[in-house]
Amino acid sequence: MREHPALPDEIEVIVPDKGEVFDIELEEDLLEANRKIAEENKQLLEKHRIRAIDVMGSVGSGKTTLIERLIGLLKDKYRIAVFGGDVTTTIDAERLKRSGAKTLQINTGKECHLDANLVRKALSKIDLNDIDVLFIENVGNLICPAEFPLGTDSRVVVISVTEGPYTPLKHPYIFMEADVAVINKIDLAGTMDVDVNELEAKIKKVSPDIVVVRTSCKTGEGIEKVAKVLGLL
Amino acid sequence: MHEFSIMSQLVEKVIEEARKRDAKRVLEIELDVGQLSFLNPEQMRFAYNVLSKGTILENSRLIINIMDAHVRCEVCGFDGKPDYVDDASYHVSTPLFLCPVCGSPVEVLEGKGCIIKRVRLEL
Repeated sequence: MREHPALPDEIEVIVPDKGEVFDIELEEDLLEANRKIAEENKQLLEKHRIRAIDVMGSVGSGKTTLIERLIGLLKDKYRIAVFGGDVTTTIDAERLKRSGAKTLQINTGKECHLDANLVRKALSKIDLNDIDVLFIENVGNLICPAEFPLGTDSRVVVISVTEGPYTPLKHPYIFMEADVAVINKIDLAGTMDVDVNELEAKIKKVSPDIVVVRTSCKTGEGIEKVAKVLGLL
Repeated sequence: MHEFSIMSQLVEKVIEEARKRDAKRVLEIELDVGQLSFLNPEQMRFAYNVLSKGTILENSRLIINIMDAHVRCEVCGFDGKPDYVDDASYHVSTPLFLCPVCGSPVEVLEGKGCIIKRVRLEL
C-alpha cells in the first residue's frame, strides 16, 4: 500500500457545519503513482548496474522468441534474468527457463499489463547483484502497457508482419512510448503481402525518434542488430 | 482496458479524503483526463458505478473533463495542440508527434494525466 501524500499546504481548510456541502481540491494524478514507483525501480536497477528492457507487443508477435534469441546470443557475455508477465499461465516462463536465464513469472491475474508495483515486487525476489541484464516480457497487449512505465532503460515493441500493415496507426501510443520497434517475421512478409518498408514508414510517422529493426526470430536474422541498438553488443 | 484499476484507486483515495474530514457522503467528483491517456470515459463510468456501490460514494456524480493535449517544439518554439491525422478507416483521430510548423519531433507537456480535481462532500 503506497503512502498518499499529505494535502497540499495552499488549501485553506474552513471548518464547515454538519450537513454542509464542501468542495476540496486535490490535483492528484492517478497515473502518477505508477510513474513514481517506476522511477524508484529505475534507481534501484541503476544502483545495481542492471540494464533492463521492457518487451511489449501483441500476443503472438514473437516477444518470447525474441528474448530467447537474445539470451542465446548474449548469455556468455552477461548474467541474464527474465520476468515473464502473463495473465495466468507459465508457458512463456517455462520456455525462457530452458534457454538458460533465471526466470521469474509475474501473473497479473486479471490485469492487462504489468505495472511498476508488480515489477518492484519481482525485483525484491531476486539477487540483484547476480544480474547484468533483465528482460521484462510484458503482457501481450498493445494498449495498456504503454501507459504504465516499469522503470526500464529501454522499451521495445515487437510487431509482426502477420498482424497486417495497420498496427502502428491503430496503436500509435505504444510506438510513441517505445525506444525500439522490432518488425518480426519478415520471412513471411511476401506470403502476407505486407510491404515492410511501408510498415516502417508508418511506425516512423507516429514515432519519429524510434529505432526500427527488422527481424526473423525464426531464422535469426536481425537479432544481433536488436542487441546492438539496445547497447548490449 | 485498465479503467477498473484506475477507478479503484480513485474510489480508495476519495474514501480516504472523505474520512479525514468526517464526511457523510461524497456528492460529486471531477476528473481531468488527458486526451493522450488511454482511458475511455464510458468504461470509467461503468467501473465507477460498480466500485462505488455500498460506499459513501454511491450515487455521487462523476464529471469527466477531457483535456486537450499540449506539445512543444524545441526546434522552432511551437507551443500548442498537436496535429491529428483523421483517417475515416481508423474511426479515431491519431495524434501526430511532429511539430505542425516545422515537422520536428515534439515534446508532450500535457495530455497524459488522470487527475482528481475536486471532490464535493456532504459533512
